[in-house]
Amino acid sequence: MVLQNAWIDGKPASTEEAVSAAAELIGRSRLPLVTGLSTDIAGIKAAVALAQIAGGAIDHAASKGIYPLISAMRDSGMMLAAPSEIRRRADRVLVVGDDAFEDAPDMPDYLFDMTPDLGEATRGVERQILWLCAGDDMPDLPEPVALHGIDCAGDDLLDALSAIRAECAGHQHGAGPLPAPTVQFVAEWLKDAAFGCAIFAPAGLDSLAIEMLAGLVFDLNAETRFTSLPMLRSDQAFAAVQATTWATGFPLRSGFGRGYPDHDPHLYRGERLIADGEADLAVHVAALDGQDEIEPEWSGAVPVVALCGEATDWTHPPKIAFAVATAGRDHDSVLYDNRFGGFVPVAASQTGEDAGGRMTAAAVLAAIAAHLGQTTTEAAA
Amino acid sequence: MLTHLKNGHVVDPANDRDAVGDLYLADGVVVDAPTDGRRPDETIDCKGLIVMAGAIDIHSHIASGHVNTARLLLPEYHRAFQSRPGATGLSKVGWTTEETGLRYAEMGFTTVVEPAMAPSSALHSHLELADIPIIDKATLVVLGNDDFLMAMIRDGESESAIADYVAWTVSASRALGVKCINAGGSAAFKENVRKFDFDDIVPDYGVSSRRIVKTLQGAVNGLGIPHPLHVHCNNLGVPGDSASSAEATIGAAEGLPMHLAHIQFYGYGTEGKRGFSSVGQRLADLVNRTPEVTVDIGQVMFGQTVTISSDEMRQFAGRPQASPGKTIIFDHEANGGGVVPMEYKQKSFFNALQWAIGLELFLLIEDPSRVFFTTDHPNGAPFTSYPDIFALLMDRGVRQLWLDALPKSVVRMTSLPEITREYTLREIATMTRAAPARLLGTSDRGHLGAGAVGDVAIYRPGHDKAEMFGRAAYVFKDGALVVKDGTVVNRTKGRTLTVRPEADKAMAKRLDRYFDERFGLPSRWFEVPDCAVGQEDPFKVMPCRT
Repeated sequence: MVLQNAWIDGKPASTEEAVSAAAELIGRSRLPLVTGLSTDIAGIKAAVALAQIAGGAIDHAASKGIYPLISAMRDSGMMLAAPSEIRRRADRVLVVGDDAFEDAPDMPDYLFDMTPDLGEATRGVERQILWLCAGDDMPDLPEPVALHGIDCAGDDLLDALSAIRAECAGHQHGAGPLPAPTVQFVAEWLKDAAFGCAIFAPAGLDSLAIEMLAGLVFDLNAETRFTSLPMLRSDQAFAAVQATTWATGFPLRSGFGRGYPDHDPHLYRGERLIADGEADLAVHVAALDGQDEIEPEWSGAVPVVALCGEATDWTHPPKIAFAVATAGRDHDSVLYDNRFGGFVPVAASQTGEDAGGRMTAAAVLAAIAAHLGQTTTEAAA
Repeated sequence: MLTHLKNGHVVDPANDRDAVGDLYLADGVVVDAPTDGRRPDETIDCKGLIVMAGAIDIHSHIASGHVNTARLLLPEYHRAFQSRPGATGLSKVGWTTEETGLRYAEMGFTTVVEPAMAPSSALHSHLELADIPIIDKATLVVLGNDDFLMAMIRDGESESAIADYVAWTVSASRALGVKCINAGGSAAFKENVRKFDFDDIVPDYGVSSRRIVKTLQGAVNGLGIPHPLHVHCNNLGVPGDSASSAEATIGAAEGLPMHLAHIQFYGYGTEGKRGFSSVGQRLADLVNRTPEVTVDIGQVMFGQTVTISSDEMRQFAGRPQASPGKTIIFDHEANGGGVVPMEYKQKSFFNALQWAIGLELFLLIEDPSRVFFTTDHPNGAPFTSYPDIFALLMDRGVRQLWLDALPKSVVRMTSLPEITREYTLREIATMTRAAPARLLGTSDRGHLGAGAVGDVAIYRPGHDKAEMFGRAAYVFKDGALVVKDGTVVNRTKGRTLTVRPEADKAMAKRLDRYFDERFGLPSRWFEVPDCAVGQEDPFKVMPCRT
């Protein structure tokens, strides 16, 4: 059964008509923003190509959740682990922030459901976890781990980390949010790790706190081994960071209006472009399996060309809408997986008629880009 | 379509051809001159031009998670390039996947090997490779710090079982060969070991670096993988210890083929008041008398670059030299690695001597079929510096001009001023075409005999060798014109060359269990299926020796 897959102004249309109308809208746009980007690697690559040919801007809908990490990484550097190495080797884990696992709920089980099996000093030891700013309701962690929480308000994390870092380095530090004995305890506990790891959610910390944590980790490596592991959301924002970086040299937040990728994390932040009225059109891709956030918060501010995997009633319906196949469910795809810490091939869980004959997001984006290119060529002629 | 390249000076050492003559391309390959009166569809007058096979780069970090992290770490240089081309650091780096293909093609390079693909990020590498236009690519998969291999050696498993594991990894990751990087050193670093020599023991495994290297060398050879084990030795960059490590590794080749990567970074002694001196002559002599060993150089050139390596211990130790002062170190499974920005300064005694040591090795290793042309891009310099290096090798006068600009203290420490050798075109063609094809086992390229792929680079000779090799007059890829007058005119798609040695099916089952129980992950995530790469028919399988 082939379902209706395209709409213009809410009215059913053929895919060809909708592609043509979308290309026309983009062609007339002063600054189209290509965003959402909740799709597989093929969809992200097609979105980059469309933004380039359209002279638009590109950003992921959830880039603000990952940018503190990007900023800290490129401002000060970092030591980073693969999840499996923490699972297999880490004897001590410092969890930072009460929301460390909020967007990665499957990670505690993955990381901690076995005792370390690698390392002379770490194999077979009971893993210890110290949770800084644990909050009132720490999630259950799998056995066997020894969990100890330390109270600290989220706003005080930077100061707490500063004090711990200073203590580790043997530097003087003033009174901070943590009592002095606690700071001393944490510092000693960190230094006594054989292979430790700091775990945090970039969305929950600002870049300064991440930089401070990264500095603490580097310092600890003067004497022992310590590393860090960010908990990433499953929305493919990091996949988009990776793909835009190899394609353009920059992680998201770039404009192509000057004829080359012009990167500015403030200027080309998608939400700002919409809020300040600089972008006058958005191409929004939300085509992951099980995705619950389809309509963007800024919906209604600009006309939208929407490519969505799930039918949703939008408060502000898109100007043009495509129902596309869902990555990982309706078609084979490549997705970034947080447990693997990299790209993995994902076979479709359903195919053929179940997918309703829908095109992939990549195919629709490529069709719009091709139409736009054709139109541009004709206009030039 | 029949293309006639007419009256060029054909330099094709693999076929012992070094004379003016014609070349014909049809259906993507080199063909004999037509005898049936067929008229060419296209004739290019190559009178006065040099015609060679497309060049092959055997060691250039162009596509991996680490490479992408370097891009991520250094946005400032790329941004600077946008508005001030040619004037700023990393300005000609070929930074994106797109630029990588275009810049290589413009220099007449048509095949490039990414030499450090971790098994766990094979798909990432292949996703990037698929986006690199025009050139053909290949990868070497990294083993030698992995738990599975070291445990097999520790447990005394059979050579055939280890060969099965190597075969599975090479096939699953779609590699052309195997590399080991500071064998055992990254694993030791995870145990807080900070220095690791060739005969040191990896804690917890009880195996030495030597034993890992020898085991992998034997497995690669036994599987018939044409490219010999590609070794990044211990103690890279450490004065004294680097040279000792390289010498010990060369000594361990023991009659079986072995390739040593970026040997310049091991040519460091401890003499002189700065404790840093050249052992270029000593290493070159050793290579000259060890016929089973091949090396590439990893030439340093001056300017801003960034080092990208899966030698985690080395990269961590290199943090104090980072310029700008920021690094990313990876504690990944097995090798891990690190990204450390680096500025090689002409006025620095150390950097200038590194530059001289690279050239000493290029010029003192006598056989151009056993020394390969690399900067270990981008570690010694971006690959876009190649034209200058060709000029330095081919023209003693150019070398003297560069030497004149160096600190006098450096000139006193190198034999470079006394070396009169100038590479001939034939030697350049051997080093960058014929020999790399033999070393990689890719007999379909690197020469211009009938049946070879139609990868041809045509240069306009002149006094300025850098200009000659920087902007090819014409480049053909698979028989199609892709570059004219140093500019890409046709953006084609290349493929990725692989070998597929067969592993016993029992090894696949064993690895299913291992990845499931230890990693908590399915083994298929370590495999690269054709359909995942985003390119139709992305791989070309090269034969293993039988």
